[in-house]
Amino acid sequence: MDLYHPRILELSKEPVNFRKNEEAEFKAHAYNPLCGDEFTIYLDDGRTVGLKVSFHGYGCAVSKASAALLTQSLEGEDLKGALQKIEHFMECFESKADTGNADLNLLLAARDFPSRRSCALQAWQECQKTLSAIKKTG
Amino acid sequence: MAKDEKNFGALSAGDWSALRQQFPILRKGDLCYLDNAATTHKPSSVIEAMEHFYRAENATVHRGAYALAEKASLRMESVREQMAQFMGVESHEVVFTSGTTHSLNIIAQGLPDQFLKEGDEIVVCPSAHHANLIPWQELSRRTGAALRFLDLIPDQLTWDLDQAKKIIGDKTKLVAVAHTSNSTGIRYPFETLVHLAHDAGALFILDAAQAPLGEALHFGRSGVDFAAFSGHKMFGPTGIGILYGKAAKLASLRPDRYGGDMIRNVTFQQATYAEGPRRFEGGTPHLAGIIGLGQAIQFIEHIGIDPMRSRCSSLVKRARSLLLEDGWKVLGSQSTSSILSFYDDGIHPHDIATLLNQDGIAIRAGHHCAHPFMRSLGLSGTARLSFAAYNTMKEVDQLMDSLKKIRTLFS
Ligand SMILES: Cc1ncc(COP(=O)(O)O)c(C=O)c1O
Repeated sequence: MDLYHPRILELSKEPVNFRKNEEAEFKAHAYNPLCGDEFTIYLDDGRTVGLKVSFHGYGCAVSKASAALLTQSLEGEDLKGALQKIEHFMECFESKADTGNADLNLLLAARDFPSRRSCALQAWQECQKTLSAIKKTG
Repeated sequence: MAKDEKNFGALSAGDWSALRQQFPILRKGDLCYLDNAATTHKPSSVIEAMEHFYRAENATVHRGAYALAEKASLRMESVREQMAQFMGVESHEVVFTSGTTHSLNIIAQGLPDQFLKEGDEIVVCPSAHHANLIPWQELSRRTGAALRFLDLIPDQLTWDLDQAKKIIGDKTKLVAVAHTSNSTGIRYPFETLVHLAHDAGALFILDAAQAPLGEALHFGRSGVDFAAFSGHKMFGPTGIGILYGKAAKLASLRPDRYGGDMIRNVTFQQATYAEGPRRFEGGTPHLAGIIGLGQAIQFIEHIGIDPMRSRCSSLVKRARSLLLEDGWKVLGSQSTSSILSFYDDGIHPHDIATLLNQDGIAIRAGHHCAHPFMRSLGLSGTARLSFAAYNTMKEVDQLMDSLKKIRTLFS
Protein backbone atom coordinates (compact mmCIF):
# COMPACT_ATOMS: atom_id res chain seq x y z
CA MET A 1 0.00 0.00 0.00
CA ASP A 2 1.19 3.51 -0.75
CA LEU A 3 1.86 5.61 2.32
CA TYR A 4 1.70 8.73 0.16
CA HIS A 5 -1.70 8.22 -1.42
CA PRO A 6 -2.88 11.42 -3.15
CA ARG A 7 -5.64 11.75 -0.57
CA ILE A 8 -3.10 11.69 2.29
CA LEU A 9 -1.06 14.35 0.52
CA GLU A 10 -4.18 16.41 -0.04
CA LEU A 11 -5.11 16.16 3.63
CA SER A 12 -1.60 17.14 4.68
CA LYS A 13 -1.52 20.16 2.41
CA GLU A 14 -4.96 21.38 3.37
CA PRO A 15 -5.88 19.63 6.58
CA VAL A 16 -9.40 19.89 7.88
CA ASN A 17 -9.93 21.32 11.37
CA PHE A 18 -6.43 22.81 11.39
CA ARG A 19 -6.82 25.64 13.87
CA LYS A 20 -5.87 26.55 17.40
CA ASN A 21 -8.53 26.70 20.07
CA GLU A 22 -6.86 27.85 23.25
CA GLU A 23 -10.21 27.99 25.06
CA ALA A 24 -10.85 24.29 24.50
CA GLU A 25 -11.77 22.37 27.61
CA PHE A 26 -9.24 19.61 26.96
CA LYS A 27 -5.98 19.51 25.10
CA ALA A 28 -3.97 16.51 24.03
CA HIS A 29 -0.33 17.07 23.27
CA ALA A 30 1.32 14.76 20.76
CA TYR A 31 5.09 15.09 20.69
CA ASN A 32 7.45 12.72 18.94
CA PRO A 33 10.96 13.03 20.36
CA LEU A 34 12.38 11.05 17.45
CA CYS A 35 11.48 13.67 14.88
CA GLY A 36 10.46 16.69 16.95
CA ASP A 37 6.94 16.70 15.49
CA GLU A 38 4.44 18.35 17.69
CA PHE A 39 0.66 18.68 17.57
CA THR A 40 -1.96 19.90 19.98
CA ILE A 41 -5.42 18.45 19.64
CA TYR A 42 -8.15 20.67 21.05
CA LEU A 43 -11.21 18.93 22.40
CA ASP A 44 -14.23 20.97 23.38
CA ASP A 45 -17.00 19.07 25.02
CA GLY A 46 -20.11 20.83 23.84
CA ARG A 47 -22.21 18.53 26.16
CA THR A 48 -25.34 18.62 24.02
CA VAL A 49 -23.88 18.80 20.53
CA GLY A 50 -20.92 16.54 21.16
CA LEU A 51 -17.18 17.16 20.81
CA LYS A 52 -15.73 19.96 18.75
CA VAL A 53 -12.25 18.95 17.73
CA SER A 54 -9.41 20.77 16.01
CA PHE A 55 -5.64 20.52 15.91
CA HIS A 56 -2.57 22.59 15.28
CA GLY A 57 1.15 22.05 15.09
CA TYR A 58 3.90 20.75 12.90
CA GLY A 59 4.67 17.34 11.49
CA CYS A 60 5.13 15.17 8.45
CA ALA A 61 2.46 14.56 5.83
CA VAL A 62 1.38 11.31 7.46
CA SER A 63 1.08 12.68 10.98
CA LYS A 64 -0.75 15.76 9.76
CA ALA A 65 -3.22 13.77 7.67
CA SER A 66 -3.69 11.38 10.56
CA ALA A 67 -4.39 14.16 13.05
CA ALA A 68 -6.84 15.76 10.61
CA LEU A 69 -8.68 12.46 10.18
CA LEU A 70 -8.73 11.98 13.93
CA THR A 71 -10.45 15.32 14.43
CA GLN A 72 -12.97 14.40 11.77
CA SER A 73 -13.69 11.04 13.37
CA LEU A 74 -14.27 12.46 16.82
CA GLU A 75 -16.36 15.43 15.73
CA GLY A 76 -19.80 15.32 17.34
CA GLU A 77 -19.11 12.26 19.49
CA ASP A 78 -19.57 12.21 23.23
CA LEU A 79 -16.57 11.22 25.37
CA LYS A 80 -17.47 7.56 25.40
CA GLY A 81 -18.12 7.46 21.68
CA ALA A 82 -14.88 9.27 20.98
CA LEU A 83 -12.89 6.75 22.98
CA GLN A 84 -14.59 3.91 21.15
CA LYS A 85 -13.73 5.47 17.79
CA ILE A 86 -10.09 5.74 18.80
CA GLU A 87 -9.94 2.20 20.08
CA HIS A 88 -11.59 0.91 16.94
CA PHE A 89 -9.07 2.69 14.74
CA MET A 90 -6.13 1.42 16.75
CA GLU A 91 -7.41 -2.14 16.61
CA CYS A 92 -7.86 -1.91 12.86
CA PHE A 93 -4.36 -0.45 12.56
CA GLU A 94 -2.81 -3.42 14.34
CA SER A 95 -4.81 -6.03 12.43
CA LYS A 96 -5.02 -4.11 9.16
CA ALA A 97 -8.75 -4.62 9.20
CA ASP A 98 -11.14 -2.40 7.29
CA THR A 99 -11.89 0.67 9.40
CA GLY A 100 -15.13 1.30 7.55
CA ASN A 101 -13.79 4.64 6.36
CA ALA A 102 -11.86 4.95 3.09
CA ASP A 103 -9.64 7.79 4.33
CA LEU A 104 -8.76 6.05 7.57
CA ASN A 105 -7.92 2.90 5.67
CA LEU A 106 -5.17 4.82 3.88
CA LEU A 107 -3.39 5.37 7.18
CA LEU A 108 -3.01 1.63 7.68
CA ALA A 109 -0.19 1.69 5.12
CA ALA A 110 2.04 3.15 7.84
CA ARG A 111 2.05 -0.25 9.50
CA ASP A 112 4.49 -1.44 6.84
CA PHE A 113 6.98 1.31 7.74
CA PRO A 114 8.19 0.56 11.26
CA SER A 115 9.83 3.96 11.62
CA ARG A 116 6.65 5.72 10.52
CA ARG A 117 4.03 3.88 12.56
CA SER A 118 4.02 6.54 15.22
CA CYS A 119 3.30 9.19 12.57
CA ALA A 120 -0.05 7.54 11.95
CA LEU A 121 -0.77 6.63 15.56
CA GLN A 122 0.51 9.28 17.85
CA ALA A 123 -2.31 11.81 17.74
CA TRP A 124 -4.77 8.98 18.38
CA GLN A 125 -2.76 7.61 21.29
CA GLU A 126 -2.43 10.98 22.97
CA CYS A 127 -6.13 11.70 22.57
CA GLN A 128 -6.91 8.32 24.03
CA LYS A 129 -4.82 9.14 27.09
CA THR A 130 -6.45 12.54 27.52
CA LEU A 131 -9.98 11.21 27.08
CA SER A 132 -9.40 8.25 29.41
CA ALA A 133 -8.13 10.60 32.11
CA ILE A 134 -11.27 12.75 31.76
CA LYS A 135 -13.49 9.72 31.95
CA LYS A 136 -11.82 8.60 35.16
CA THR A 137 -11.97 11.98 36.89
CA GLY A 138 -15.27 13.10 35.42
CA MET B 1 52.80 -4.20 0.31
CA ALA B 2 52.52 -7.96 -0.14
CA LYS B 3 49.94 -8.10 2.61
CA ASP B 4 47.97 -5.21 1.12
CA GLU B 5 47.87 -6.90 -2.23
CA LYS B 6 46.42 -9.99 -0.67
CA ASN B 7 43.76 -7.93 1.07
CA PHE B 8 42.85 -5.43 -1.58
CA GLY B 9 43.67 -7.14 -4.86
CA ALA B 10 44.51 -4.68 -7.60
CA LEU B 11 42.74 -1.84 -5.82
CA SER B 12 44.46 1.45 -6.33
CA ALA B 13 43.66 4.99 -5.34
CA GLY B 14 41.41 6.71 -7.84
CA ASP B 15 39.82 3.52 -9.13
CA TRP B 16 36.54 4.22 -7.46
CA SER B 17 34.49 1.47 -9.05
CA ALA B 18 37.05 -1.07 -7.87
CA LEU B 19 36.83 0.50 -4.43
CA ARG B 20 33.05 0.08 -4.45
CA GLN B 21 33.48 -3.58 -5.34
CA GLN B 22 35.32 -4.05 -2.04
CA PHE B 23 32.07 -3.51 -0.17
CA PRO B 24 29.90 -6.63 -0.36
CA ILE B 25 26.71 -4.81 0.63
CA LEU B 26 27.10 -2.45 -2.34
CA ARG B 27 27.97 -5.08 -4.92
CA LYS B 28 24.40 -5.92 -5.78
CA GLY B 29 24.05 -2.39 -7.01
CA ASP B 30 20.52 -1.65 -5.87
CA LEU B 31 21.48 0.31 -2.77
CA CYS B 32 22.13 4.02 -3.05
CA TYR B 33 23.55 4.60 0.42
CA LEU B 34 23.99 8.24 1.37
CA ASP B 35 24.04 7.95 5.16
CA ASN B 36 27.73 7.46 5.75
CA ALA B 37 27.90 9.95 8.59
CA ALA B 38 25.68 7.57 10.55
CA THR B 39 27.81 4.56 9.72
CA THR B 40 29.91 3.52 6.76
CA HIS B 41 29.81 0.12 5.14
CA LYS B 42 32.57 -2.40 5.70
CA PRO B 43 35.03 -3.66 3.11
CA SER B 44 35.65 -7.38 2.67
CA SER B 45 39.06 -7.11 4.29
CA VAL B 46 37.46 -5.95 7.55
CA ILE B 47 34.68 -8.53 7.47
CA GLU B 48 37.05 -11.34 6.60
CA ALA B 49 39.63 -10.43 9.22
CA MET B 50 36.97 -10.53 11.90
CA GLU B 51 35.58 -13.80 10.66
CA HIS B 52 39.06 -15.27 10.46
CA PHE B 53 39.75 -14.24 14.03
CA TYR B 54 36.70 -16.12 15.30
CA ARG B 55 37.30 -19.10 13.02
CA ALA B 56 41.00 -19.56 13.56
CA GLU B 57 42.48 -17.34 16.23
CA ASN B 58 39.89 -16.84 18.92
CA ALA B 59 41.30 -16.33 22.42
CA THR B 60 41.16 -13.60 25.00
CA VAL B 61 44.02 -11.27 25.83
CA HIS B 62 46.39 -10.60 28.70
CA ARG B 63 45.50 -13.90 30.39
CA GLY B 64 46.47 -17.21 28.89
CA ALA B 65 50.11 -18.22 28.55
CA TYR B 66 49.29 -20.30 25.49
CA ALA B 67 50.13 -19.35 21.96
CA LEU B 68 46.66 -18.31 20.83
CA ALA B 69 46.17 -15.93 23.73
CA GLU B 70 49.62 -14.47 23.30
CA LYS B 71 48.94 -13.92 19.64
CA ALA B 72 45.64 -12.18 20.44
CA SER B 73 47.37 -9.88 22.92
CA LEU B 74 50.00 -9.02 20.35
CA ARG B 75 47.34 -8.30 17.73
CA MET B 76 45.56 -5.96 20.09
CA GLU B 77 48.73 -4.06 20.89
CA SER B 78 49.74 -3.88 17.26
CA VAL B 79 46.40 -2.29 16.35
CA ARG B 80 46.96 0.17 19.20
CA GLU B 81 50.30 1.02 17.63
CA GLN B 82 48.73 1.32 14.18
CA MET B 83 46.00 3.56 15.59
CA ALA B 84 48.57 5.73 17.34
CA GLN B 85 50.32 6.32 14.02
CA PHE B 86 47.00 6.98 12.34
CA MET B 87 46.30 9.73 14.87
CA GLY B 88 49.83 11.06 15.21
CA VAL B 89 50.14 10.18 18.90
CA GLU B 90 51.88 7.67 21.17
CA SER B 91 50.41 4.21 21.59
CA HIS B 92 50.17 4.54 25.38
CA GLU B 93 47.72 7.39 24.74
CA VAL B 94 45.26 5.22 22.84
CA VAL B 95 42.34 3.64 24.73
CA PHE B 96 39.98 1.16 23.10
CA THR B 97 36.37 1.99 23.95
CA SER B 98 33.03 1.03 22.49
CA GLY B 99 32.75 4.27 20.49
CA THR B 100 32.58 8.05 20.61
CA THR B 101 29.77 8.15 23.14
CA HIS B 102 31.64 5.84 25.49
CA SER B 103 34.89 7.77 25.09
CA LEU B 104 33.27 11.13 25.88
CA ASN B 105 31.53 9.64 28.89
CA ILE B 106 34.79 8.24 30.22
CA ILE B 107 36.14 11.78 30.25
CA ALA B 108 33.05 13.44 31.69
CA GLN B 109 32.66 10.85 34.42
CA GLY B 110 36.34 10.40 35.11
CA LEU B 111 37.39 13.98 35.83
CA PRO B 112 38.48 14.38 39.44
CA ASP B 113 35.78 15.74 41.75
CA GLN B 114 37.69 18.92 42.52
CA PHE B 115 38.17 19.70 38.83
CA LEU B 116 34.95 21.70 38.58
CA LYS B 117 32.98 23.76 41.03
CA GLU B 118 30.27 26.37 41.05
CA GLY B 119 31.41 29.46 39.16
CA ASP B 120 33.44 27.43 36.66
CA GLU B 121 32.37 27.10 33.06
CA ILE B 122 32.23 24.41 30.42
CA VAL B 123 32.22 25.70 26.85
CA VAL B 124 30.31 23.68 24.27
CA CYS B 125 28.94 24.17 20.78
CA PRO B 126 25.20 24.61 20.09
CA SER B 127 25.36 22.17 17.19
CA ALA B 128 26.86 19.44 19.38
CA HIS B 129 25.77 15.86 18.89
CA HIS B 130 23.89 14.75 22.01
CA ALA B 131 26.92 12.56 22.81
CA ASN B 132 29.01 15.68 23.23
CA LEU B 133 26.37 17.68 25.07
CA ILE B 134 24.54 15.50 27.56
CA PRO B 135 27.68 14.22 29.36
CA TRP B 136 28.60 17.89 29.99
CA GLN B 137 25.05 18.74 31.07
CA GLU B 138 25.30 15.96 33.63
CA LEU B 139 28.73 17.10 34.74
CA SER B 140 27.39 20.62 35.11
CA ARG B 141 24.48 19.33 37.17
CA ARG B 142 26.81 17.36 39.45
CA THR B 143 29.36 20.11 40.00
CA GLY B 144 27.43 23.37 39.65
CA ALA B 145 29.68 24.51 36.79
CA ALA B 146 27.76 26.37 34.08
CA LEU B 147 27.48 25.49 30.40
CA ARG B 148 28.41 28.28 28.00
CA PHE B 149 27.67 28.07 24.30
CA LEU B 150 29.73 29.24 21.37
CA ASP B 151 27.88 31.43 18.88
CA LEU B 152 27.49 30.31 15.31
CA ILE B 153 27.69 32.91 12.55
CA PRO B 154 24.28 33.00 10.83
CA ASP B 155 24.17 31.20 7.46
CA GLN B 156 27.83 30.16 7.62
CA LEU B 157 27.06 28.19 10.78
CA THR B 158 30.69 28.10 11.78
CA TRP B 159 32.01 29.48 15.05
CA ASP B 160 32.14 33.19 15.74
CA LEU B 161 35.75 33.26 16.92
CA ASP B 162 35.45 36.78 18.35
CA GLN B 163 32.71 35.58 20.64
CA ALA B 164 34.74 32.47 21.43
CA LYS B 165 37.63 34.69 22.53
CA LYS B 166 35.25 36.53 24.84
CA ILE B 167 33.70 33.54 26.53
CA ILE B 168 36.78 31.34 26.88
CA GLY B 169 38.60 32.83 29.84
CA ASP B 170 39.45 32.53 33.51
CA LYS B 171 36.26 30.70 34.41
CA THR B 172 36.60 28.16 31.60
CA LYS B 173 37.77 24.76 32.81
CA LEU B 174 36.82 22.71 29.82
CA VAL B 175 36.08 23.20 26.13
CA ALA B 176 34.34 20.29 24.40
CA VAL B 177 33.55 20.70 20.71
CA ALA B 178 33.33 18.74 17.48
CA HIS B 179 35.83 18.53 14.65
CA THR B 180 32.99 18.42 12.10
CA SER B 181 29.28 18.87 12.69
CA ASN B 182 27.30 15.77 11.88
CA SER B 183 24.22 17.86 11.15
CA THR B 184 25.62 20.66 8.96
CA GLY B 185 28.89 19.13 7.81
CA ILE B 186 30.79 22.24 8.86
CA ARG B 187 34.43 21.48 9.65
CA TYR B 188 35.18 23.78 12.58
CA PRO B 189 38.49 25.63 13.08
CA PHE B 190 39.07 23.72 16.30
CA GLU B 191 42.82 24.37 16.26
CA THR B 192 42.14 28.01 17.23
CA LEU B 193 40.01 26.87 20.14
CA VAL B 194 42.76 24.57 21.38
CA HIS B 195 44.96 27.63 21.81
CA LEU B 196 42.22 29.67 23.45
CA ALA B 197 41.44 26.83 25.84
CA HIS B 198 45.06 26.25 26.77
CA ASP B 199 45.73 29.96 27.24
CA ALA B 200 42.84 29.93 29.70
CA GLY B 201 44.23 26.84 31.41
CA ALA B 202 41.26 24.76 30.28
CA LEU B 203 41.09 21.20 28.97
CA PHE B 204 40.29 20.78 25.30
CA ILE B 205 38.18 17.81 24.21
CA LEU B 206 37.49 17.00 20.58
CA ASP B 207 34.54 14.98 19.33
CA ALA B 208 36.24 13.63 16.23
CA ALA B 209 33.46 11.22 15.23
CA GLN B 210 33.20 12.76 11.75
CA ALA B 211 36.92 13.34 11.30
CA PRO B 212 38.76 10.12 10.40
CA LEU B 213 37.66 9.90 6.75
CA GLY B 214 37.81 13.66 6.26
CA GLU B 215 41.45 14.38 6.87
CA ALA B 216 44.60 12.98 8.41
CA LEU B 217 44.47 13.30 12.19
CA HIS B 218 47.30 14.99 14.00
CA PHE B 219 46.11 15.02 17.56
CA GLY B 220 49.64 15.17 18.90
CA ARG B 221 50.49 18.22 16.82
CA SER B 222 47.18 20.03 17.31
CA GLY B 223 47.57 19.68 21.06
CA VAL B 224 44.06 18.47 21.93
CA ASP B 225 43.95 16.97 25.40
CA PHE B 226 41.37 14.33 24.55
CA ALA B 227 39.71 13.13 21.35
CA ALA B 228 37.01 10.57 20.67
CA PHE B 229 35.79 8.71 17.59
CA SER B 230 34.09 5.50 16.46
CA GLY B 231 35.34 2.64 14.31
CA HIS B 232 32.04 2.16 12.52
CA LYS B 233 32.17 5.56 10.85
CA MET B 234 35.55 4.75 9.24
CA PHE B 235 34.85 1.42 7.50
CA GLY B 236 35.40 -0.45 10.76
CA PRO B 237 33.05 -2.55 12.89
CA THR B 238 30.47 -1.29 15.36
CA GLY B 239 31.15 -1.57 19.07
CA ILE B 240 34.72 -0.35 18.92
CA GLY B 241 36.05 3.18 19.20
CA ILE B 242 38.91 5.26 20.45
CA LEU B 243 39.63 7.59 23.29
CA TYR B 244 42.82 9.52 22.78
CA GLY B 245 44.24 11.33 25.80
CA LYS B 246 47.59 12.97 26.48
CA ALA B 247 49.33 10.58 28.84
CA ALA B 248 49.25 12.91 31.85
CA LYS B 249 45.60 13.81 31.22
CA LEU B 250 44.58 10.17 30.92
CA ALA B 251 46.36 9.45 34.18
CA SER B 252 44.27 12.12 35.89
CA LEU B 253 40.97 10.41 35.01
CA ARG B 254 39.18 7.94 37.23
CA PRO B 255 38.52 4.66 35.41
CA ASP B 256 34.86 4.34 34.41
CA ARG B 257 34.71 0.66 35.31
CA TYR B 258 36.52 -1.65 37.66
CA GLY B 259 37.35 -5.32 37.28
CA GLY B 260 39.70 -7.65 35.48
CA ASP B 261 42.28 -6.49 32.94
CA MET B 262 42.68 -3.03 34.44
CA ILE B 263 44.45 -3.85 37.71
CA ARG B 264 48.04 -4.06 38.86
CA ASN B 265 47.70 -5.65 42.28
CA VAL B 266 44.60 -6.82 44.12
CA THR B 267 44.10 -7.83 47.75
CA PHE B 268 40.81 -8.70 49.42
CA GLN B 269 40.48 -5.13 50.62
CA GLN B 270 41.80 -3.02 47.80
CA ALA B 271 43.42 -2.82 44.42
CA THR B 272 45.88 -0.71 42.52
CA TYR B 273 45.27 -0.06 38.88
CA ALA B 274 47.22 -0.57 35.74
CA GLU B 275 48.83 2.45 34.18
CA GLY B 276 48.12 3.83 30.73
CA PRO B 277 45.22 2.84 28.53
CA ARG B 278 44.55 -0.44 30.29
CA ARG B 279 43.21 1.45 33.31
CA PHE B 280 40.19 2.17 31.12
CA GLU B 281 39.89 -1.22 29.48
CA GLY B 282 38.42 -3.32 32.28
CA GLY B 283 36.87 -6.59 31.13
CA THR B 284 37.37 -8.66 28.02
CA PRO B 285 37.83 -6.31 25.07
CA HIS B 286 36.00 -6.42 21.75
CA LEU B 287 38.93 -8.16 20.13
CA ALA B 288 37.32 -9.00 16.82
CA GLY B 289 36.33 -5.35 16.68
CA ILE B 290 39.88 -4.23 17.36
CA ILE B 291 41.15 -6.51 14.63
CA GLY B 292 38.51 -5.20 12.23
CA LEU B 293 39.46 -1.66 13.13
CA GLY B 294 43.11 -2.42 12.35
CA GLN B 295 42.03 -3.64 8.92
CA ALA B 296 39.92 -0.51 8.42
CA ILE B 297 42.98 1.65 9.05
CA GLN B 298 44.97 -0.39 6.54
CA PHE B 299 42.18 0.03 4.03
CA ILE B 300 42.02 3.80 4.54
CA GLU B 301 45.77 4.15 4.30
CA HIS B 302 45.86 2.05 1.17
CA ILE B 303 43.29 4.25 -0.61
CA GLY B 304 44.57 7.45 0.92
CA ILE B 305 42.59 10.02 2.87
CA ASP B 306 43.32 12.88 0.47
CA PRO B 307 41.96 11.17 -2.65
CA MET B 308 38.89 10.09 -0.66
CA ARG B 309 38.34 13.61 0.55
CA SER B 310 38.54 15.13 -2.92
CA ARG B 311 36.21 12.43 -4.21
CA CYS B 312 33.64 13.23 -1.52
CA SER B 313 33.99 16.94 -1.95
CA SER B 314 33.24 16.72 -5.67
CA LEU B 315 30.15 14.62 -4.85
CA VAL B 316 29.02 17.14 -2.25
CA LYS B 317 29.68 20.11 -4.55
CA ARG B 318 27.59 18.60 -7.29
CA ALA B 319 24.78 17.67 -4.91
CA ARG B 320 24.81 21.16 -3.39
CA SER B 321 24.58 22.98 -6.71
CA LEU B 322 21.85 20.68 -8.04
CA LEU B 323 19.84 20.99 -4.84
CA LEU B 324 20.05 24.78 -4.91
CA GLU B 325 19.13 24.78 -8.59
CA ASP B 326 15.99 22.82 -7.77
CA GLY B 327 14.97 25.20 -5.02
CA TRP B 328 16.01 23.23 -1.94
CA LYS B 329 17.57 25.06 0.96
CA VAL B 330 20.98 23.92 2.14
CA LEU B 331 22.30 24.38 5.68
CA GLY B 332 25.56 26.31 5.83
CA SER B 333 26.80 28.53 3.04
CA GLN B 334 29.78 26.35 2.25
CA SER B 335 30.42 22.63 2.19
CA THR B 336 33.51 21.75 4.12
CA SER B 337 33.08 18.01 4.51
CA SER B 338 31.24 15.06 3.00
CA ILE B 339 28.00 15.98 4.77
CA LEU B 340 25.20 18.16 3.41
CA SER B 341 21.90 19.00 5.09
CA PHE B 342 18.98 20.28 3.05
CA TYR B 343 15.33 21.07 3.59
CA ASP B 344 12.22 22.65 2.21
CA ASP B 345 9.73 24.52 4.34
CA GLY B 346 6.81 22.68 2.78
CA ILE B 347 8.13 19.12 2.83
CA HIS B 348 8.91 17.30 6.02
CA PRO B 349 12.35 15.63 6.11
CA HIS B 350 10.86 12.29 7.14
CA ASP B 351 8.55 12.35 4.16
CA ILE B 352 11.59 12.98 1.97
CA ALA B 353 13.49 10.08 3.52
CA THR B 354 10.60 7.62 3.28
CA LEU B 355 9.92 8.53 -0.34
CA LEU B 356 13.62 8.31 -1.26
CA ASN B 357 13.71 4.93 0.42
CA GLN B 358 10.99 3.78 -1.95
CA ASP B 359 13.47 4.52 -4.74
CA GLY B 360 16.24 2.60 -2.99
CA ILE B 361 18.00 5.67 -1.63
CA ALA B 362 19.04 5.72 2.03
CA ILE B 363 19.45 9.10 3.69
CA ARG B 364 19.00 10.36 7.23
CA ALA B 365 16.19 12.69 8.19
CA GLY B 366 15.47 14.38 11.47
CA HIS B 367 17.39 16.30 14.08
CA HIS B 368 20.60 14.24 13.76
CA CYS B 369 20.97 13.94 17.53
CA ALA B 370 21.30 17.72 17.71
CA HIS B 371 17.78 18.54 18.76
CA PRO B 372 18.32 21.90 20.52
CA PHE B 373 20.39 23.07 17.56
CA MET B 374 17.68 22.27 15.01
CA ARG B 375 15.12 24.01 17.20
CA SER B 376 17.36 27.07 17.40
CA LEU B 377 17.42 27.20 13.61
CA GLY B 378 13.64 27.06 13.62
CA LEU B 379 13.70 23.65 11.97
CA SER B 380 12.28 20.39 13.19
CA GLY B 381 15.00 18.67 11.22
CA THR B 382 16.67 18.34 7.86
CA ALA B 383 17.33 15.69 5.28
CA ARG B 384 21.01 14.83 5.37
CA LEU B 385 23.24 13.44 2.68
CA SER B 386 26.62 12.09 3.67
CA PHE B 387 29.02 10.62 1.18
CA ALA B 388 31.84 8.13 1.23
CA ALA B 389 34.41 7.52 -1.48
CA TYR B 390 32.39 4.58 -2.83
CA ASN B 391 29.48 6.83 -3.77
CA THR B 392 29.12 7.89 -7.39
CA MET B 393 27.98 10.85 -9.48
CA LYS B 394 25.33 8.53 -10.86
CA GLU B 395 23.96 8.18 -7.34
CA VAL B 396 23.81 11.96 -7.01
CA ASP B 397 21.80 12.07 -10.24
CA GLN B 398 19.56 9.25 -9.05
CA LEU B 399 18.95 11.21 -5.87
CA MET B 400 18.11 14.37 -7.78
CA ASP B 401 15.65 12.54 -10.05
CA SER B 402 13.92 11.10 -7.06
CA LEU B 403 13.82 14.47 -5.30
CA LYS B 404 12.24 16.04 -8.36
CA LYS B 405 9.42 13.49 -8.17
CA ILE B 406 8.96 14.24 -4.48
CA ARG B 407 8.75 17.95 -5.14
CA THR B 408 6.03 17.34 -7.71
CA LEU B 409 4.08 15.19 -5.26
CA PHE B 410 4.06 17.95 -2.69
CA SER B 411 3.51 20.91 -4.99
C1 LIG C 1 29.62 14.26 15.77
C2 LIG C 1 29.22 12.97 16.42
N1 LIG C 1 29.49 12.77 17.72
C3 LIG C 1 29.18 11.62 18.35
C4 LIG C 1 28.55 10.59 17.69
C5 LIG C 1 28.20 9.35 18.44
O1 LIG C 1 28.89 8.26 17.93
P1 LIG C 1 28.60 6.78 18.46
O2 LIG C 1 27.13 6.60 18.32
O3 LIG C 1 29.38 5.92 17.54
O4 LIG C 1 29.05 6.71 19.86
C6 LIG C 1 28.23 10.76 16.34
C7 LIG C 1 27.49 9.70 15.62
O5 LIG C 1 26.49 9.90 15.00
C8 LIG C 1 28.57 11.97 15.69
O6 LIG C 1 28.30 12.16 14.40
